Amino acid sequence: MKTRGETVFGLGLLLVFAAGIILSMDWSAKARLFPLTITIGGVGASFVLLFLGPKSAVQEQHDEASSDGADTKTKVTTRSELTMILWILAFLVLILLLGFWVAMATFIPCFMLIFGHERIRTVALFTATLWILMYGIFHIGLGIPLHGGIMGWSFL
Amino acid sequence: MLEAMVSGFGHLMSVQLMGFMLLGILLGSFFGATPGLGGNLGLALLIPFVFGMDPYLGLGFLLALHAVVHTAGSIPGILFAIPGTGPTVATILDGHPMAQQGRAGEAMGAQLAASALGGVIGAIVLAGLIPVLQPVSMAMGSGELFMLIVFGMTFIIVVSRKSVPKGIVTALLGLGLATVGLDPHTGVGRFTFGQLWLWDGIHIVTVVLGIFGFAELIYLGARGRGGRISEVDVEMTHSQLWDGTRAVFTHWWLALRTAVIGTFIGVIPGLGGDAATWICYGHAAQTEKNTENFGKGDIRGLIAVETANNAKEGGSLLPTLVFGIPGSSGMAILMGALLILGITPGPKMLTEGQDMIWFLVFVLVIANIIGAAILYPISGYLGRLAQLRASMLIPGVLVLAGTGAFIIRGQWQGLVLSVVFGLLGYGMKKWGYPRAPLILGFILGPLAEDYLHKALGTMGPAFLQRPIVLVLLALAIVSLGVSVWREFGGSRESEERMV
Repeated sequence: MKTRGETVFGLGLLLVFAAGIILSMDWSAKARLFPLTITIGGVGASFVLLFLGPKSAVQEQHDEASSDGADTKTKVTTRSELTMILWILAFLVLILLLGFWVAMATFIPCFMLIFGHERIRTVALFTATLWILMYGIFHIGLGIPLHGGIMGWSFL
Repeated sequence: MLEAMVSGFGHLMSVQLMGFMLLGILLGSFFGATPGLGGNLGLALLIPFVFGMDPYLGLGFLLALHAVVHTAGSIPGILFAIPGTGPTVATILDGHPMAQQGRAGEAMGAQLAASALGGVIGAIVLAGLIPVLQPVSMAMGSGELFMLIVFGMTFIIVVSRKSVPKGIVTALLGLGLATVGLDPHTGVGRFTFGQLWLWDGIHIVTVVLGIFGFAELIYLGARGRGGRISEVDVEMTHSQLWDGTRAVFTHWWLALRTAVIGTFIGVIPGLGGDAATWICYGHAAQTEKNTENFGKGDIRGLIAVETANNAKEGGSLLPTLVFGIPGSSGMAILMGALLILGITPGPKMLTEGQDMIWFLVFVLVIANIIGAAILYPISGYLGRLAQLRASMLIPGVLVLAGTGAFIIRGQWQGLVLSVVFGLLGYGMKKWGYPRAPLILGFILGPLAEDYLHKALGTMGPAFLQRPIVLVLLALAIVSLGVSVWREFGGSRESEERMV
């Protein structure tokens, strides 16, 4: 018995491969030979998996968690997954809007305070250390300009 | 060959390289000893930083990191029964009971010495296999190389311990992603959607950081908020460390056997560390005398597992370098680094790049010895990494992953794409899709397409009639067919495995 999420995920992959077939039809025979072969194979394999495939991945997930060194005693819920995904997306949006340096200075304290319930002193010390370390390595040491962000360029 | 060996060793004689190797060893120890991070994440995070480096410097750094990950990964396993990396799960069987009996130092000493010994023996066996494989490279044309890639991919899908159709889907997805960008043969833009930034294709770092880096971060955050990974405190003495070290040399015959077995298991692509450690543990339990204490704190069980665990890295380097078929997911990422640094793995490495192979053999040996030497005095402190809070680990790793995803091409689109791959990688992890075949498909895709076009260009479809091509094709069909039949044939064993 597959879970709803697993079915949606499998269907998504099937659609990606199907879109690949349609898109590759416009190219020359030589250009499409390899991608078309792959996408046709992908549609076939996804179809088999979705409609004829074996049972759910609960055991597999457990196996992978173990093999990745994870603590299997800890429960992962959909809510906790979504929360973490939203945190990562928030960091991404902050980088795109404000740039790396401002995003780091705002995201790290927010994450540690709200997600981790850390003490303010720990948060301040950790944020400052990490920020200085990254600035020292990338900006001063390597001279690599990190993304300034849409708004960040205007005030940095 | 002697010339290549001397040349390979000569590249080691650099203070800069030694510095980078030392840094790699320290970082590898950190990633290995911190539960939830692991070597793959470490490699994924640090690959962007070797971009543009001298190949010897970059590879020396990454391989040194990779070599000590499992050594350090056993530390939280012994002390707190938390495996730092997957293959170290078997370490807990005898390592943790020893710690519970107040013999933590002895277990740590045995573990470090056995790991170093295993790593060195693995590298020596790898070196011994180089001349044996040299004639093989001479028989390989474009057609054979294409089919070798196909066979290698089927092999990894089959033995990846996941559902075979899922392995096929992810491998094909990886191959498909590799076709994004301008086709090198015709100049046609494929899957670029009119976006200029996609003309160069998707960078391997973007994919690896997403599939392993961001995906692991989601998992790390989703499974625990602010709590420590372990709350247990374990004490150990330095005299115990030496007792444990001596025990490895007392049981030298066992250590040698398991190291050699581990190396040969590592040579088989996809079998990975879990198989090596469990098979060697079983071997020790079957062949040693008075085994009633195995699983209850017998040091011989620990020695068997640890030697195999590090020895298999030498073995898995062989198919990665010589056939372009990574022996493990870590090696798949490392192979991405090879390509980034301008080195194309394959049979030509045996003729044109043999000094590089020897260089990597020496790096493995030195990294294992120095790694163990460094870990002796700091192993107790590294054990405390298991008490780090997720709320401190996640922002640090997230910042590093975000920076890596951006700087590889200096484009914000790369960062966004990496996060998208992170979601894909998490979905794959959650629903049991193996991730290594995707990385493998992505890395081998361009090579496979190139060999296919060359083979078709020179011989047309007749290349499929060449003897080696036919043998490889038959092997690919048989290995895949048998696995699919087992999974869908309704056998009881398969049913039990999937439930």
